[in-house]
Amino acid sequence: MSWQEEEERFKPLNRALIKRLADFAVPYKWHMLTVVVVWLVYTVVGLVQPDLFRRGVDNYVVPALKDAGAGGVVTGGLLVIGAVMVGLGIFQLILRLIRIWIDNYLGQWITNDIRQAIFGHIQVLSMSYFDRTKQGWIIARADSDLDTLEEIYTWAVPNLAGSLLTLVGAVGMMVYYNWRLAIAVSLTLPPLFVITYFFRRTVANAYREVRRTASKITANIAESISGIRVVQSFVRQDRNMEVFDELNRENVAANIYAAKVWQSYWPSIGFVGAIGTTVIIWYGSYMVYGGQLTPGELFAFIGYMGMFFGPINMMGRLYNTLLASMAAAERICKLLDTMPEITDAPDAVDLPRVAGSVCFENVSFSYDSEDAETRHWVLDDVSFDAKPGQSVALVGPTGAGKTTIVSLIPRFYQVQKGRILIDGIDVKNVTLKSMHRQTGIVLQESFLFSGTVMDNLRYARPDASESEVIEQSKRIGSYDILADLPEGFQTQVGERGGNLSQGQRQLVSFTRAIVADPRILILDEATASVDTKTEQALQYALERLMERRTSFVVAHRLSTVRNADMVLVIQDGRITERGTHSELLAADGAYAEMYAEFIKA
Amino acid sequence: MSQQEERTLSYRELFSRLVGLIRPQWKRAVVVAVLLLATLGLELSLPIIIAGATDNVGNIIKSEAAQKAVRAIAFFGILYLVASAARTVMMYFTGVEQARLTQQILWDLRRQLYEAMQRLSFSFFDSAHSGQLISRVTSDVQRVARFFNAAFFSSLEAITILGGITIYMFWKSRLLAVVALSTAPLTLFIVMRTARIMRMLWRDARDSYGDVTTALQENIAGIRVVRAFANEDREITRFADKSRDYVKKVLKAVYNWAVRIPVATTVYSFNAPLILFVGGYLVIKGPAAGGIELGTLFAFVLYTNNMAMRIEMLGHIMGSIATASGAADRIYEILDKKPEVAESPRAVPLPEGGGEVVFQDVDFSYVPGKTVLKDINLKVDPGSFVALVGHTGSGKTTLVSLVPRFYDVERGSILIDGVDVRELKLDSLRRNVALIFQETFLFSATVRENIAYGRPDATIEEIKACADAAQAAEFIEKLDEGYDTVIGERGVTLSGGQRQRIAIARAILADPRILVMDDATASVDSATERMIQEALFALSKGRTTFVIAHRISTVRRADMIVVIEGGRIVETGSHDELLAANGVYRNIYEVQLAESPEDKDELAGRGREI
Repeated sequence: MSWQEEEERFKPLNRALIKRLADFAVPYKWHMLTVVVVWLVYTVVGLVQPDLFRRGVDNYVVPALKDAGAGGVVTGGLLVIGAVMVGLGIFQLILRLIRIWIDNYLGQWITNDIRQAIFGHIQVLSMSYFDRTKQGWIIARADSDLDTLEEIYTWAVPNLAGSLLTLVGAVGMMVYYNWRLAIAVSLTLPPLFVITYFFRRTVANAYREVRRTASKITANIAESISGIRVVQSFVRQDRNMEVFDELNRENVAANIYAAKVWQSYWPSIGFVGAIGTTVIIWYGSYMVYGGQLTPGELFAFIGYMGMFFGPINMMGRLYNTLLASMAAAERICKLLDTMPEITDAPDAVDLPRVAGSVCFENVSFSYDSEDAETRHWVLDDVSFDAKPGQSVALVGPTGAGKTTIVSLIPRFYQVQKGRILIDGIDVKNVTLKSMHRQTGIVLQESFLFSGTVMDNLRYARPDASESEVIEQSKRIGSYDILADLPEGFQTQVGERGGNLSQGQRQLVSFTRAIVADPRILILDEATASVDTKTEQALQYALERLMERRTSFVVAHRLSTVRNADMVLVIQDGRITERGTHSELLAADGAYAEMYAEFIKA
Repeated sequence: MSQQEERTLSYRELFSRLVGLIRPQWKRAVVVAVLLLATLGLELSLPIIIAGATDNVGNIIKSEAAQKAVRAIAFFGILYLVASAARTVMMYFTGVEQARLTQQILWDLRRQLYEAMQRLSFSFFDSAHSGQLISRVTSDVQRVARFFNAAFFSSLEAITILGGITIYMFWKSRLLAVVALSTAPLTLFIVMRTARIMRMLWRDARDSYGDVTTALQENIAGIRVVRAFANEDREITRFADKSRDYVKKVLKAVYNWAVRIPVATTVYSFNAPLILFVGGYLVIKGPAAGGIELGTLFAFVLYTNNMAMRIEMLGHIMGSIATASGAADRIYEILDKKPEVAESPRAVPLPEGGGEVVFQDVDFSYVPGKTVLKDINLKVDPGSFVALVGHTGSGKTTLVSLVPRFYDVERGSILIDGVDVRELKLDSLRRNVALIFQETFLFSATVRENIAYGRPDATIEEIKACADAAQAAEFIEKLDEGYDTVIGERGVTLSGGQRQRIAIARAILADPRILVMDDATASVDSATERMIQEALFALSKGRTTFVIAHRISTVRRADMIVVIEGGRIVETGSHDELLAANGVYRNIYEVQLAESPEDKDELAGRGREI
């Protein structure tokens, strides 16, 4: 969690949010009910114990003290009470097992549902959402925010029921024994509540400061490590040490402050408890002397007094958890409530297998879809017509709109004006999935998923047989290089084994695309320099890949541009020139100028 | 994961090292220990005071000197209140002092780690994973702190209380003590065993959680690929499987915990009815006949509860010692690492000079046995411009990394203005060599701070002048807050070309004698690319410059081209000389550098068929 987010970890209680949190628990309502019942029974069993103790003292120990001759009855009676206590102990154990088990079962499966809801929702959100939102932000929702919520489902709600009953039960038993002493002891309850309420907030704030300073340290270290080469080259170690010391000191101070607050809380609670115990000893023994209270009841009072602290502490914790979960729930709901900007039209049909003609008709597009007034048009009245099987190269300066054009073909974004037709069908009228099955994309940075090379090659078509994949790999010319990897096609790639070179990764992503066999291929050429052998392999693969399908290439290689059936020159969101390489050179316009600059460089 | 948890330090070594950390703070540690013992003493006294009161209740029942008994109870009541108040105050001071001590140790440890990381050589960072390094300073240090509290204070507390209670019990009644303690060993055994099993189970669950996060993160990072191949449904199934797998692992751990710990406490609580039974018998017998007072029985009951808490605490202590030893191992792995590139005690600052660089018979390898550079001999005149050409992996980057001594040579030597780099102060050497990397790293700070990174005291005028020379002034001034705009990971996003120009400005301000750069520019349009090129050439004036060249225009400007293949220098000379030589250079030139018809014509003009 970033330190900006730490700032707003707590939010006031919000009825609507609480309802939504409760909605997630609805499918588990029988579990919930069971756990509450188990808690209540458990609590009642706990409440019985001091009373058993009282019986032991009053019925057997006291008569024995008064009359030494009652030994036999006493021993037998204590044995019975002992046996009942052991029995209750075992019963309580079983209840506790069931309780812990259901508590966690609930917490885990409910958060699992939310996690999957988040993941599922991410799959339908539009690309513009991912442009605006940082990856870390989304991940934190399914990570730290869910952690916070889990606490509520795991223990908070059932615990509240148990805590309340313990408190009420303990006071009730006291009143039943002796209402005067009960009132005297219960006078400690209000201060306990007040102290808890006051400290909970302060403690929460203090620990928030601890976490905030800690995450600043983490951020600083992260940066120092990723930038270590720059740090050492510019000899910044001493200065960095000063900055780090300062952050470190802040964190230490925050920790000590938190310790001070926390160390004031528990002892204070304990002290109020001690006052209660003193009252019982004084007033209680006075009443024992007066015969209004039995000695057993006196001991039971001390036992019930001890039951005050647990529930009060629990309720304080619950309150904090609820506050913390409001912020978490709000962020999760914000993610879940984000409407995808692009959805299938209600009457959308599946796109039939296409020949692959792509036509832009007066397309204008802007990334800021909301405010029509201040809109900055990235594409302005773009029209072109690509015939099935043609290769189209897009060239132009950075930011001219090349990548935007190709992103519109698979409808990653919604155009504001004009329309885009595939085989004469408006892309707005077909289901996204049926269209995506016929489009393939190769990004500049070859993105591979963790798994084996083979897993990645089969990414788009998990049903493709291994021999089919290998055949395609041979056709595209990547077989030799991929088979040569340490474990051939079974080499691990992605996060866990990012040992493939840039060139090798590109080859994997080319092969993945040819296995997918899309009708329309979109390719953003990579610019990273690779060694000659790989470069040649890439060139060859690219040519194979573009065969027999309509392809759009954001071109960086001259050879790609030269071989294209149509070159579109994009400048400031408009197509300024179109034609083949030689036609455009002959026209002696912007393209010829760019070309001259390109070869001069 | 399992690899990480492997323990190489024995508990004894670990303990002595951690004692070493506490030693500078020994005075505070003694204070904490004394405070702690005093608090515990007060805590132990409370049940005895209650026992005193209860004894008198017994007297009331027996109607023995009832008046006196009531007064005695009042006295014990006051005593209880006073002891509680004293304990409250002591607990506060103990807790705060303990936090001060722990924090001081943490501070030291974090600082040492940070310092070590800043000092370590590049070879260390080449093989290390940055995420893991970060977690050493954050979570591993936390674990060690928890260990401190567990090993020194919690165990002192647990042992004092357990010992004190045991002594009290045996003093009052040997029989009842044996009864009260009878269930403790078995309980302790179960708790310890559970702590060990839980550690394994939680580790499994954590690993599984790692898979969940990875799946999510990959999905978001590769969302375009997912969409373009219409693979959402499969992704959802895959994720659901992983998430479910995680839940099952957690529940397995919880199940184990839920069964084992209650069993332990229940086994322990079996002694409660036994105490009541045997104790009741002893009370009836009365102190005179070798029995006990009623209050003593009550104290036994109170102490038994306290003991249960401490036994559970011992389980936690064992748990945190085990995790801390893994954490401490990882921390000491860094602290013990000697930087491979270390400054000689007799090191001198770089003398005045023009920036002459000489490689003499240099061999180098990252991993012993796998030679990367072999027999490098090269003399670069002050102020000259050298282009390094060769295939990926031929050793160009390695060669230039040796100049600022990021790595040490295996054989031979490198001289700058006549002095071996190993005899130079590292600060002085590196201040005089600036590098511009292919991937520009900017810090989360303002533009101004980033440019002044190497010379934090630079004036804004100097910074502006450098930005201007790096062709960066124009776009910087267009930023919302100009030079005070925060950039880097947490700030405004800059394009690749803009980042690179800021890096160039940073290098210009550092005013190095020697400049090393990689001329591969990220995907930028040709106008930006030309601007960057111009900035680089401006920067190279008057300095010895090494360029890892990817562009024909760079190579043409070079005073000397060095062609590297397989870690050896195979050709040196000017562009024309090397083309004429018809060797490796010409081959690279044809396939990699030359792409324009003119270049090919040039080749053709020299009488070669293409």
